[in-house]
Amino acid sequence: MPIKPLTEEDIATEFSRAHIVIIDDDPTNRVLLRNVCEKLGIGIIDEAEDGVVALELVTRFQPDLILLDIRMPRMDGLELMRQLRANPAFDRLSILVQTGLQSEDDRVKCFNLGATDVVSRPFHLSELKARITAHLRSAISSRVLFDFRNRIQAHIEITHSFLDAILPTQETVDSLSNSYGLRLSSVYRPHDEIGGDLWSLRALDDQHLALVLIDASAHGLAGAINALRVDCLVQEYHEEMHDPGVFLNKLDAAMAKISFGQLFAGAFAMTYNRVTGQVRFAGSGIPSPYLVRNGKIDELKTRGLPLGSGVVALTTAQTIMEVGSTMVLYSDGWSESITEEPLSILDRANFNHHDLAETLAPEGGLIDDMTLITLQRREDHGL
Amino acid sequence: MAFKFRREGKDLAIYISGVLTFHQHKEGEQLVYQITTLVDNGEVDVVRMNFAEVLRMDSHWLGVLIRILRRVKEKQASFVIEKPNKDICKLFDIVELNRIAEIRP
Repeated sequence: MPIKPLTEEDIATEFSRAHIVIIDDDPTNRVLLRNVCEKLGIGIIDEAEDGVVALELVTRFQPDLILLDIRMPRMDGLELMRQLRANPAFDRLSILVQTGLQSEDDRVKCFNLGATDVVSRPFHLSELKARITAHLRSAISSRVLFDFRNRIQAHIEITHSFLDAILPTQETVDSLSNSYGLRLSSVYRPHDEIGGDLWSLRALDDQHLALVLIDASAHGLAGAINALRVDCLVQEYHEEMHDPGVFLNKLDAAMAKISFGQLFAGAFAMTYNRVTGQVRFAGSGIPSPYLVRNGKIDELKTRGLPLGSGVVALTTAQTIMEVGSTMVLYSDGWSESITEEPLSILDRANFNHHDLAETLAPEGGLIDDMTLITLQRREDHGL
Repeated sequence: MAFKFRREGKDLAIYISGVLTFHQHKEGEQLVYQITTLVDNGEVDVVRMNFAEVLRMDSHWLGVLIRILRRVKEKQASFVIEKPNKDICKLFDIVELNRIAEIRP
Protein backbone atom coordinates (compact mmCIF):
# COMPACT_ATOMS: atom_id res chain seq x y z
CA MET A 1 0.00 0.00 0.00
CA PRO A 2 1.50 3.39 -0.93
CA ILE A 3 1.90 5.87 1.90
CA LYS A 4 -0.57 8.75 1.92
CA PRO A 5 -1.85 11.26 4.47
CA LEU A 6 -4.44 9.76 6.81
CA THR A 7 -7.95 11.18 6.47
CA GLU A 8 -10.33 11.59 9.43
CA GLU A 9 -12.11 8.48 8.20
CA ASP A 10 -8.82 6.56 8.16
CA ILE A 11 -8.11 7.77 11.69
CA ALA A 12 -11.52 6.59 12.90
CA THR A 13 -10.91 3.19 11.30
CA GLU A 14 -7.45 3.02 12.83
CA PHE A 15 -8.88 3.96 16.27
CA SER A 16 -11.35 1.11 15.98
CA ARG A 17 -8.40 -1.25 15.44
CA ALA A 18 -6.14 0.41 18.01
CA HIS A 19 -5.07 -1.39 21.14
CA ILE A 20 -4.66 0.31 24.51
CA VAL A 21 -3.63 -1.23 27.82
CA ILE A 22 -4.80 0.51 31.00
CA ILE A 23 -2.40 -0.25 33.86
CA ASP A 24 -3.68 0.81 37.28
CA ASP A 25 -4.15 -1.00 40.59
CA ASP A 26 -7.32 1.01 41.35
CA PRO A 27 -10.38 -0.64 39.73
CA THR A 28 -12.31 2.66 39.83
CA ASN A 29 -9.62 4.40 37.81
CA ARG A 30 -9.57 1.52 35.31
CA VAL A 31 -13.33 1.82 34.80
CA LEU A 32 -13.04 5.58 34.33
CA LEU A 33 -10.22 5.24 31.82
CA ARG A 34 -11.99 2.43 29.96
CA ASN A 35 -15.07 4.66 29.56
CA VAL A 36 -12.91 7.45 28.14
CA CYS A 37 -11.27 5.06 25.67
CA GLU A 38 -14.58 3.55 24.61
CA LYS A 39 -15.99 7.01 23.93
CA LEU A 40 -12.99 7.71 21.68
CA GLY A 41 -13.88 4.63 19.62
CA ILE A 42 -10.79 2.64 20.59
CA GLY A 43 -11.41 -0.96 19.59
CA ILE A 44 -9.25 -3.08 21.89
CA ILE A 45 -8.91 -2.15 25.55
CA ASP A 46 -7.07 -4.35 28.01
CA GLU A 47 -6.50 -3.83 31.71
CA ALA A 48 -3.72 -4.79 34.11
CA GLU A 49 -3.61 -4.22 37.86
CA ASP A 50 0.17 -4.13 38.20
CA GLY A 51 3.42 -4.00 36.23
CA VAL A 52 3.93 -7.76 36.15
CA VAL A 53 0.60 -8.45 34.45
CA ALA A 54 1.12 -5.42 32.22
CA LEU A 55 4.57 -6.56 31.06
CA GLU A 56 3.14 -9.88 29.98
CA LEU A 57 0.23 -8.24 28.14
CA VAL A 58 2.38 -5.63 26.43
CA THR A 59 5.03 -8.15 25.41
CA ARG A 60 2.43 -10.51 23.99
CA PHE A 61 0.22 -8.02 22.15
CA GLN A 62 2.43 -4.98 21.43
CA PRO A 63 -0.32 -2.36 21.92
CA ASP A 64 -0.29 1.12 20.38
CA LEU A 65 -0.53 3.01 23.69
CA ILE A 66 -0.41 2.27 27.41
CA LEU A 67 -1.99 4.40 30.13
CA LEU A 68 0.31 3.82 33.06
CA ASP A 69 -0.11 4.45 36.79
CA ILE A 70 3.09 4.77 38.83
CA ARG A 71 2.29 3.49 42.31
CA MET A 72 1.31 -0.16 42.01
CA PRO A 73 2.09 -3.38 43.93
CA ARG A 74 4.57 -6.06 42.68
CA MET A 75 6.05 -3.90 39.90
CA ASP A 76 5.49 -0.15 39.83
CA GLY A 77 5.13 2.02 36.73
CA LEU A 78 8.73 3.27 36.84
CA GLU A 79 10.16 -0.24 36.80
CA LEU A 80 7.78 -1.27 34.03
CA MET A 81 8.94 1.68 31.91
CA ARG A 82 12.57 0.80 32.64
CA GLN A 83 12.04 -2.77 31.44
CA LEU A 84 10.02 -1.79 28.38
CA ARG A 85 12.47 0.87 27.20
CA ALA A 86 15.38 -1.53 27.64
CA ASN A 87 13.78 -3.65 24.92
CA PRO A 88 14.21 -2.17 21.38
CA ALA A 89 10.91 -3.80 20.39
CA PHE A 90 9.15 -1.14 22.49
CA ASP A 91 11.09 1.91 21.27
CA ARG A 92 8.03 3.26 19.52
CA LEU A 93 5.45 2.35 22.20
CA SER A 94 3.58 5.44 23.44
CA ILE A 95 3.49 5.56 27.22
CA LEU A 96 1.07 8.03 28.76
CA VAL A 97 1.75 8.17 32.49
CA GLN A 98 -1.28 9.07 34.61
CA THR A 99 -0.19 9.76 38.15
CA GLY A 100 -0.94 11.46 41.42
CA LEU A 101 2.75 12.40 41.74
CA GLN A 102 2.84 16.15 41.51
CA SER A 103 6.45 17.24 42.01
CA GLU A 104 8.55 18.46 39.10
CA ASP A 105 11.28 15.92 39.98
CA ASP A 106 8.82 13.03 39.80
CA ARG A 107 7.54 14.13 36.43
CA VAL A 108 11.05 14.60 35.07
CA LYS A 109 11.94 11.14 36.35
CA CYS A 110 9.01 9.71 34.38
CA PHE A 111 10.23 11.39 31.19
CA ASN A 112 13.80 10.25 31.80
CA LEU A 113 12.59 6.66 32.07
CA GLY A 114 10.86 6.91 28.71
CA ALA A 115 7.37 8.33 29.28
CA THR A 116 5.91 9.89 26.15
CA ASP A 117 3.74 12.20 28.25
CA VAL A 118 2.61 12.68 31.85
CA VAL A 119 -0.90 13.65 32.96
CA SER A 120 -1.68 14.45 36.58
CA ARG A 121 -4.57 13.21 38.63
CA PRO A 122 -7.22 14.29 39.34
CA PHE A 123 -8.03 14.14 35.62
CA HIS A 124 -9.66 16.81 33.58
CA LEU A 125 -11.58 14.48 31.31
CA SER A 126 -11.48 16.68 28.22
CA GLU A 127 -7.71 17.11 28.59
CA LEU A 128 -7.22 13.37 29.11
CA LYS A 129 -9.27 12.62 25.98
CA ALA A 130 -7.27 15.15 23.99
CA ARG A 131 -3.96 13.66 25.14
CA ILE A 132 -5.01 10.06 24.43
CA THR A 133 -6.23 11.13 20.98
CA ALA A 134 -3.01 13.01 20.19
CA HIS A 135 -0.75 10.15 21.29
CA LEU A 136 -2.80 7.53 19.53
CA ARG A 137 -2.73 9.53 16.28
CA SER A 138 1.00 9.87 16.63
CA ALA A 139 1.37 6.14 17.36
CA ILE A 140 -0.74 5.28 14.30
CA SER A 141 1.27 7.62 12.03
CA SER A 142 4.47 6.16 13.39
CA ARG A 143 3.20 2.62 12.72
CA VAL A 144 2.16 3.50 9.15
CA LEU A 145 5.61 4.99 8.48
CA PHE A 146 7.36 2.08 10.15
CA ASP A 147 5.41 -0.44 8.06
CA PHE A 148 6.18 1.56 4.92
CA ARG A 149 9.87 1.69 5.80
CA ASN A 150 9.91 -2.08 6.35
CA ARG A 151 8.31 -2.70 2.97
CA ILE A 152 10.84 -0.44 1.24
CA GLN A 153 13.65 -2.13 3.15
CA ALA A 154 12.43 -5.51 1.91
CA HIS A 155 12.38 -4.22 -1.68
CA ILE A 156 15.92 -2.89 -1.28
CA GLU A 157 17.16 -6.18 0.15
CA ILE A 158 15.65 -8.17 -2.71
CA THR A 159 17.14 -5.79 -5.30
CA HIS A 160 20.45 -5.99 -3.43
CA SER A 161 20.43 -9.75 -3.81
CA PHE A 162 19.82 -9.38 -7.58
CA LEU A 163 22.85 -7.09 -7.85
CA ASP A 164 24.98 -9.35 -5.67
CA ALA A 165 24.21 -12.21 -8.02
CA ILE A 166 25.67 -10.20 -10.91
CA LEU A 167 28.75 -8.72 -9.27
CA PRO A 168 31.75 -11.07 -9.42
CA THR A 169 32.25 -13.07 -6.24
CA GLN A 170 35.67 -13.06 -4.61
CA GLU A 171 36.03 -16.69 -5.69
CA THR A 172 35.41 -15.73 -9.35
CA VAL A 173 37.82 -12.80 -9.08
CA ASP A 174 40.54 -14.98 -7.56
CA SER A 175 40.02 -17.79 -10.02
CA LEU A 176 40.02 -15.57 -13.14
CA SER A 177 42.92 -13.46 -11.84
CA ASN A 178 45.00 -16.59 -11.42
CA SER A 179 43.97 -18.01 -14.76
CA TYR A 180 44.92 -14.85 -16.64
CA GLY A 181 48.07 -13.88 -14.76
CA LEU A 182 46.60 -10.84 -13.04
CA ARG A 183 46.31 -9.45 -9.57
CA LEU A 184 42.88 -7.86 -9.32
CA SER A 185 41.45 -5.90 -6.43
CA SER A 186 38.22 -3.97 -6.26
CA VAL A 187 36.07 -1.77 -4.06
CA TYR A 188 32.35 -1.43 -4.68
CA ARG A 189 30.49 1.03 -2.48
CA PRO A 190 27.00 2.25 -3.23
CA HIS A 191 26.09 5.77 -2.11
CA ASP A 192 22.79 4.59 -0.60
CA GLU A 193 22.00 1.05 0.52
CA ILE A 194 22.20 -0.02 -3.10
CA GLY A 195 23.41 1.73 -6.22
CA GLY A 196 23.73 1.90 -9.98
CA ASP A 197 27.33 0.79 -10.42
CA LEU A 198 28.05 -2.63 -11.80
CA TRP A 199 31.09 -4.50 -13.03
CA SER A 200 31.68 -7.93 -14.42
CA LEU A 201 34.41 -10.25 -15.59
CA ARG A 202 34.08 -12.81 -18.35
CA ALA A 203 36.53 -15.34 -19.75
CA LEU A 204 36.19 -14.98 -23.53
CA ASP A 205 38.59 -17.77 -24.41
CA ASP A 206 41.83 -19.27 -23.09
CA GLN A 207 43.71 -16.09 -23.87
CA HIS A 208 41.25 -13.25 -23.41
CA LEU A 209 39.51 -11.91 -20.36
CA ALA A 210 36.81 -9.22 -20.65
CA LEU A 211 35.96 -6.63 -18.02
CA VAL A 212 32.99 -4.26 -18.11
CA LEU A 213 32.35 -1.37 -15.72
CA ILE A 214 28.95 0.32 -15.79
CA ASP A 215 27.78 3.44 -13.97
CA ALA A 216 24.02 3.59 -14.59
CA SER A 217 22.19 6.87 -14.06
CA ALA A 218 20.39 7.54 -10.75
CA HIS A 219 21.18 6.35 -7.24
CA GLY A 220 19.60 3.94 -4.80
CA LEU A 221 16.78 1.71 -5.93
CA ALA A 222 16.32 3.53 -9.25
CA GLY A 223 20.07 3.28 -9.96
CA ALA A 224 20.04 -0.43 -9.14
CA ILE A 225 17.07 -1.04 -11.44
CA ASN A 226 18.87 0.82 -14.22
CA ALA A 227 22.03 -1.20 -13.60
CA LEU A 228 20.02 -4.43 -13.82
CA ARG A 229 18.45 -3.28 -17.09
CA VAL A 230 21.87 -2.51 -18.53
CA ASP A 231 23.16 -5.87 -17.36
CA CYS A 232 20.42 -7.62 -19.35
CA LEU A 233 21.80 -5.91 -22.45
CA VAL A 234 25.38 -6.77 -21.47
CA GLN A 235 24.31 -10.44 -21.42
CA GLU A 236 22.45 -10.02 -24.71
CA TYR A 237 25.51 -8.62 -26.50
CA HIS A 238 28.28 -10.49 -24.68
CA GLU A 239 29.47 -12.10 -27.90
CA GLU A 240 30.55 -8.65 -29.09
CA MET A 241 32.88 -8.18 -26.12
CA HIS A 242 35.90 -9.17 -28.25
CA ASP A 243 35.60 -5.68 -29.70
CA PRO A 244 34.86 -3.28 -26.82
CA GLY A 245 33.97 -0.34 -29.11
CA VAL A 246 31.42 -2.35 -31.08
CA PHE A 247 30.08 -3.85 -27.88
CA LEU A 248 29.45 -0.44 -26.25
CA ASN A 249 27.96 0.99 -29.46
CA LYS A 250 25.45 -1.86 -29.47
CA LEU A 251 24.59 -1.23 -25.84
CA ASP A 252 24.10 2.47 -26.60
CA ALA A 253 21.74 1.80 -29.49
CA ALA A 254 19.77 -0.80 -27.55
CA MET A 255 19.43 1.44 -24.50
CA ALA A 256 18.29 4.40 -26.59
CA LYS A 257 15.76 2.18 -28.34
CA ILE A 258 14.18 0.62 -25.28
CA SER A 259 14.09 3.65 -23.07
CA PHE A 260 15.26 6.89 -24.53
CA GLY A 261 15.52 9.58 -21.93
CA GLN A 262 15.23 7.34 -18.89
CA LEU A 263 18.22 5.06 -19.05
CA PHE A 264 21.78 6.32 -19.37
CA ALA A 265 25.07 4.82 -18.28
CA GLY A 266 28.72 5.59 -18.37
CA ALA A 267 30.63 2.47 -19.35
CA PHE A 268 34.13 1.12 -19.88
CA ALA A 269 34.82 -2.21 -21.56
CA MET A 270 38.13 -3.93 -22.18
CA THR A 271 39.69 -7.21 -23.15
CA TYR A 272 43.02 -8.40 -21.82
CA ASN A 273 45.30 -10.85 -23.58
CA ARG A 274 47.19 -12.82 -20.94
CA VAL A 275 50.01 -13.82 -23.32
CA THR A 276 50.80 -10.51 -24.99
CA GLY A 277 49.48 -8.13 -22.30
CA GLN A 278 47.47 -6.37 -25.00
CA VAL A 279 44.51 -4.37 -23.73
CA ARG A 280 41.77 -3.36 -26.15
CA PHE A 281 39.37 -0.86 -24.68
CA ALA A 282 36.61 1.67 -25.20
CA GLY A 283 34.67 3.88 -22.83
CA SER A 284 32.05 6.54 -22.87
CA GLY A 285 30.53 8.83 -20.24
CA ILE A 286 32.91 7.55 -17.60
CA PRO A 287 36.30 8.82 -16.41
CA SER A 288 39.28 7.52 -18.34
CA PRO A 289 41.27 4.80 -16.59
CA TYR A 290 44.94 5.16 -15.77
CA LEU A 291 47.78 2.86 -16.71
CA VAL A 292 50.74 2.97 -14.36
CA ARG A 293 53.96 1.52 -15.79
CA ASN A 294 57.57 2.04 -14.81
CA GLY A 295 56.55 4.80 -12.43
CA LYS A 296 54.78 6.73 -15.21
CA ILE A 297 51.02 7.33 -15.16
CA ASP A 298 49.18 7.50 -18.49
CA GLU A 299 45.52 8.28 -18.97
CA LEU A 300 43.83 5.87 -21.38
CA LYS A 301 41.65 8.47 -23.08
CA THR A 302 38.00 7.60 -23.34
CA ARG A 303 35.52 10.32 -24.13
CA GLY A 304 31.90 10.39 -25.22
CA LEU A 305 28.28 10.76 -24.23
CA PRO A 306 26.75 8.25 -21.86
CA LEU A 307 25.33 5.08 -23.38
CA GLY A 308 21.62 5.53 -24.01
CA SER A 309 22.04 8.82 -25.83
CA GLY A 310 21.90 6.87 -29.09
CA VAL A 311 24.73 8.78 -30.74
CA VAL A 312 27.76 7.05 -29.26
CA ALA A 313 30.18 5.96 -31.99
CA LEU A 314 33.20 4.44 -30.33
CA THR A 315 36.24 2.84 -31.82
CA THR A 316 38.39 0.40 -29.93
CA ALA A 317 41.77 1.63 -28.77
CA GLN A 318 44.62 -0.55 -27.59
CA THR A 319 47.69 -0.52 -25.42
CA ILE A 320 50.06 -2.97 -23.79
CA MET A 321 50.19 -3.79 -20.11
CA GLU A 322 53.77 -4.70 -19.40
CA VAL A 323 54.57 -7.09 -16.58
CA GLY A 324 54.23 -5.21 -13.28
CA SER A 325 52.07 -2.43 -14.72
CA THR A 326 48.71 -1.55 -13.21
CA MET A 327 45.42 -0.36 -14.65
CA VAL A 328 43.14 1.71 -12.43
CA LEU A 329 39.50 1.81 -13.51
CA TYR A 330 36.82 3.73 -11.66
CA SER A 331 33.37 5.24 -11.78
CA ASP A 332 33.15 8.97 -11.13
CA GLY A 333 32.05 8.29 -7.55
CA TRP A 334 35.74 7.80 -6.79
CA SER A 335 37.10 11.01 -8.29
CA GLU A 336 34.17 12.98 -6.79
CA SER A 337 34.70 11.58 -3.32
CA ILE A 338 38.45 11.93 -2.94
CA THR A 339 39.78 15.23 -1.72
CA GLU A 340 42.69 15.50 -4.14
CA GLU A 341 43.37 14.82 -7.79
CA PRO A 342 43.47 11.13 -8.79
CA LEU A 343 46.98 11.57 -10.15
CA SER A 344 48.42 12.72 -6.84
CA ILE A 345 46.84 9.75 -5.06
CA LEU A 346 48.25 7.35 -7.66
CA ASP A 347 51.59 9.11 -7.53
CA ARG A 348 52.24 8.04 -3.94
CA ALA A 349 50.31 4.74 -3.96
CA ASN A 350 51.96 1.51 -2.93
CA PHE A 351 51.28 -0.66 -5.96
CA ASN A 352 52.60 -3.74 -4.18
CA HIS A 353 49.75 -3.69 -1.69
CA HIS A 354 47.60 -6.80 -1.97
CA ASP A 355 44.34 -4.83 -1.56
CA LEU A 356 45.46 -1.93 -3.73
CA ALA A 357 41.94 -0.70 -4.52
CA GLU A 358 41.08 -0.56 -0.83
CA THR A 359 44.13 1.62 -0.13
CA LEU A 360 43.08 4.06 -2.86
CA ALA A 361 39.44 4.34 -1.76
CA PRO A 362 38.36 7.36 0.30
CA GLU A 363 37.67 6.85 3.97
CA GLY A 364 34.90 9.41 4.20
CA GLY A 365 31.36 9.45 2.91
CA LEU A 366 30.48 9.13 -0.75
CA ILE A 367 28.49 11.54 -2.85
CA ASP A 368 27.92 8.97 -5.61
CA ASP A 369 28.15 5.22 -6.13
CA MET A 370 31.78 4.19 -6.35
CA THR A 371 33.57 1.33 -8.05
CA LEU A 372 37.34 1.18 -8.14
CA ILE A 373 39.21 -1.69 -9.76
CA THR A 374 42.92 -2.26 -10.07
CA LEU A 375 44.42 -4.81 -12.45
CA GLN A 376 48.08 -5.71 -12.26
CA ARG A 377 49.90 -7.91 -14.73
CA ARG A 378 51.90 -10.58 -12.95
CA GLU A 379 55.04 -12.21 -14.24
CA ASP A 380 53.33 -15.47 -15.14
CA HIS A 381 50.81 -15.75 -17.94
CA GLY A 382 48.34 -17.70 -15.91
CA LEU A 383 46.41 -20.82 -16.90
CA MET B 1 17.28 23.52 -6.96
CA ALA B 2 15.29 26.18 -8.74
CA PHE B 3 14.91 27.40 -12.28
CA LYS B 4 13.58 30.60 -13.79
CA PHE B 5 12.53 31.21 -17.39
CA ARG B 6 13.09 34.47 -19.23
CA ARG B 7 11.93 34.92 -22.81
CA GLU B 8 12.85 37.64 -25.23
CA GLY B 9 11.21 36.96 -28.57
CA LYS B 10 12.30 33.50 -29.62
CA ASP B 11 15.23 33.48 -27.26
CA LEU B 12 14.64 31.44 -24.09
CA ALA B 13 17.02 31.80 -21.15
CA ILE B 14 16.75 29.39 -18.22
CA TYR B 15 18.57 30.30 -15.02
CA ILE B 16 19.18 27.19 -12.95
CA SER B 17 20.52 27.17 -9.42
CA GLY B 18 21.48 24.67 -6.74
CA VAL B 19 22.42 21.03 -6.87
CA LEU B 20 21.26 18.88 -9.79
CA THR B 21 21.13 15.26 -8.75
CA PHE B 22 18.74 12.35 -9.06
CA HIS B 23 16.92 13.68 -6.00
CA GLN B 24 15.73 16.57 -8.18
CA HIS B 25 14.37 14.23 -10.86
CA LYS B 26 10.85 15.69 -10.65
CA GLU B 27 12.18 19.16 -11.39
CA GLY B 28 14.15 17.64 -14.26
CA GLU B 29 10.99 16.16 -15.78
CA GLN B 30 9.25 19.50 -15.38
CA LEU B 31 12.11 21.28 -17.10
CA VAL B 32 12.14 18.82 -20.01
CA TYR B 33 8.37 19.19 -20.40
CA GLN B 34 8.38 22.97 -20.33
CA ILE B 35 11.26 23.40 -22.74
CA THR B 36 10.14 20.74 -25.20
CA THR B 37 6.62 22.17 -25.25
CA LEU B 38 7.95 25.60 -26.20
CA VAL B 39 10.32 24.13 -28.79
CA ASP B 40 7.69 21.80 -30.27
CA ASN B 41 5.26 24.72 -30.66
CA GLY B 42 7.92 26.72 -32.48
CA GLU B 43 7.81 29.42 -29.80
CA VAL B 44 11.57 29.47 -29.27
CA ASP B 45 14.54 28.87 -31.54
CA VAL B 46 17.35 29.50 -29.07
CA VAL B 47 17.56 27.75 -25.70
CA ARG B 48 20.20 29.08 -23.32
CA MET B 49 20.71 27.33 -20.00
CA ASN B 50 22.61 29.45 -17.52
CA PHE B 51 24.59 27.27 -15.11
CA ALA B 52 26.31 30.10 -13.20
CA GLU B 53 24.46 29.18 -9.99
CA VAL B 54 24.61 25.40 -10.37
CA LEU B 55 26.85 23.89 -7.73
CA ARG B 56 26.94 20.23 -8.72
CA MET B 57 25.41 17.93 -11.30
CA ASP B 58 25.25 14.15 -11.61
CA SER B 59 24.78 11.68 -14.46
CA HIS B 60 21.00 11.74 -14.13
CA TRP B 61 20.98 15.42 -15.06
CA LEU B 62 23.33 14.73 -17.91
CA GLY B 63 20.52 12.54 -19.20
CA VAL B 64 18.07 15.41 -18.71
CA LEU B 65 20.32 17.73 -20.73
CA ILE B 66 20.71 15.16 -23.50
CA ARG B 67 16.94 14.74 -23.79
CA ILE B 68 16.46 18.50 -24.06
CA LEU B 69 19.37 18.83 -26.45
CA ARG B 70 18.09 16.13 -28.79
CA ARG B 71 14.62 17.63 -28.96
CA VAL B 72 16.01 21.13 -29.55
CA LYS B 73 18.25 19.83 -32.36
CA GLU B 74 15.40 17.89 -33.95
CA LYS B 75 13.50 21.16 -34.22
CA GLN B 76 16.53 22.94 -35.72
CA ALA B 77 16.76 25.25 -32.71
CA SER B 78 20.05 26.00 -31.00
CA PHE B 79 21.16 25.04 -27.54
CA VAL B 80 23.74 26.82 -25.42
CA ILE B 81 25.02 26.08 -21.92
CA GLU B 82 26.43 29.15 -20.21
CA LYS B 83 28.88 29.55 -17.34
CA PRO B 84 29.22 26.03 -15.93
CA ASN B 85 31.63 25.81 -12.98
CA LYS B 86 34.95 23.92 -13.04
CA ASP B 87 33.56 20.58 -11.80
CA ILE B 88 30.68 20.63 -14.24
CA CYS B 89 33.07 21.55 -17.08
CA LYS B 90 35.07 18.47 -16.15
CA LEU B 91 31.96 16.32 -16.45
CA PHE B 92 31.07 17.92 -19.81
CA ASP B 93 34.63 17.27 -20.93
CA ILE B 94 34.43 13.56 -20.03
CA VAL B 95 31.28 13.15 -22.07
CA GLU B 96 32.40 15.50 -24.83
CA LEU B 97 29.20 17.50 -24.60
CA ASN B 98 30.92 20.31 -26.46
CA ARG B 99 30.73 18.18 -29.60
CA ILE B 100 26.97 18.45 -29.68
CA ALA B 101 26.25 21.60 -27.67
CA GLU B 102 27.77 25.04 -27.48
CA ILE B 103 29.28 25.63 -24.06
CA ARG B 104 30.16 29.22 -23.16
CA PRO B 105 32.42 29.78 -20.17
